[in-house]
Amino acid sequence: MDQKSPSVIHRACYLTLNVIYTIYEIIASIFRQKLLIFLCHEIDSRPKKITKVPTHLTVLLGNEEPAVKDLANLILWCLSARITFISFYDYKGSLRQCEDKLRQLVEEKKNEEDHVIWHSRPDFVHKNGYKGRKIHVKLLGEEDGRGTIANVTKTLASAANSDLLQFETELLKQFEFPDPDLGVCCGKTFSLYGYPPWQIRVTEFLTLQTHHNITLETFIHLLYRFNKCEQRYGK
Amino acid sequence: MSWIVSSSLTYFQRFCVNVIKCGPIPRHIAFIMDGNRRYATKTKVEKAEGHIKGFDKLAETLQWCLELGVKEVTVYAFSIENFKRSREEVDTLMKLATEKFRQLLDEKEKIMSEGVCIRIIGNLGLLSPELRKLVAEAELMTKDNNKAFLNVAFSYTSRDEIFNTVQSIVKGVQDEALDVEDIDEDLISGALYTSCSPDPDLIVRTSGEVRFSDFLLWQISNSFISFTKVLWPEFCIWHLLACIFYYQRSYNDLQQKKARVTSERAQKFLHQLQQQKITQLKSYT
Repeated sequence: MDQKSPSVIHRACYLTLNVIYTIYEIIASIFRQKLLIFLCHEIDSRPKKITKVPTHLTVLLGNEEPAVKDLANLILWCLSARITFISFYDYKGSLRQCEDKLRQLVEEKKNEEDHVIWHSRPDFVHKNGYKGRKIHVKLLGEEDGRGTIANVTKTLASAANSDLLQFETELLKQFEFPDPDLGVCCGKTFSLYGYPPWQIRVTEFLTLQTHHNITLETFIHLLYRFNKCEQRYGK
Repeated sequence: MSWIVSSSLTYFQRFCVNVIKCGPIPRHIAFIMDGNRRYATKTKVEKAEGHIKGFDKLAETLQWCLELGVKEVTVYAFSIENFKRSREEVDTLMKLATEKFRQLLDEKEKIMSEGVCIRIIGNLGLLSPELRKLVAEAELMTKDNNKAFLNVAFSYTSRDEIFNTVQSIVKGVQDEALDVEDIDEDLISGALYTSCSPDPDLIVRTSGEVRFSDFLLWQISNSFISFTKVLWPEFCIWHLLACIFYYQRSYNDLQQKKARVTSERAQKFLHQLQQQKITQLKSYT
């Protein structure tokens, strides 16, 4: 095995590589929007339609600060796309602080007959019998991750019960939503930042450079990419 | 092809490896080796041939990781869900695994001199007694090696692992080896099948799929994710270097977390759990 420490030449090459890559990233970010518009036109002209949409879309904010206006847009677009569950995962917890603002913005912009059901409030009551379209919204934080499994284990241990069904029921009680089928990771760093582990068994993860100023085209493009994913369930 | 192969790198490739080594190198990489069957279809060979090519690629990748200074590799070799595949394919895969583990025992000297520790993570109860015996022998033979670590997820799913762990903790409380207050994230991390490994820094999935298919869901909570389009048998050093380079570019944004179990009682419980595991492996041989 070659164990010698990197020489000056190696270091110089490494630095050059990083500089070139940074320049590439800057250029790519300038042209990305134009390229995407082109791509979406191409999609529109294809006869093939989007045949499946996710039931539960979960947005991982990563290291990004939440942009309330854009998150409100996402909720409204999901309503139009007939996606019934949307959740936002923010491990830093900043989004919880602007939940009221987000709620207000969505209520202002949505059609009157549409229903947005907020799950992260303690005063939340689930009502049935809505006409119109509806969407469930939930904010997730770091405490919903590994910690929840530890808490459920505590509950089971206190009850001296270790039944799989009981375990899953307890977890679902906390998570409330079905397992996400599409996860969108925002920001440059592709990582889960402690997202609830039990629920992501078959989730398809796509990346989004940033959710700031996200356009409808970009959103449609994400749905299109999801549409191409095919599940095999181990077979 | 054997488990330990000599380096296949050209002079230029080795130079590039050394360039990448100027940045932070992941301590632990996890691979979902996907695409063997699609490779077989693409090159018009038997499925079994695709799986053999997949194994050869694993041996080669391990060698690259050693050269890069990656100390630990975890691979997804066979999922519990894969038992649902056709009888014929499952049999072929089991035969291949049996053959490879037998070969591993034959190559004892080489493995011991390289200091590779091999661990199997998964539900061994679902394997044939013959394969289970080989797997247990391999693990016991290499358990004290510490130069490089290879974890093979075989007959594994993450949910199965998490739930089994939860069960053993609940049992620990019932037996009064643990107190309910001892239960936290770190205790669970320490009691998983992967208790001896740090969480992976980087997870790579090949063949263009963008999901984790029940692999290390708990452990990859803070790993850097790299999905690459290439089919596993076609994975080459450039793909690996690219994955590591992206990891390096994001290094400062990643969360570094270390599990720490502080309670003495919990430590004792984890120690016992480890002893139980070794006793069980011995019973298989």
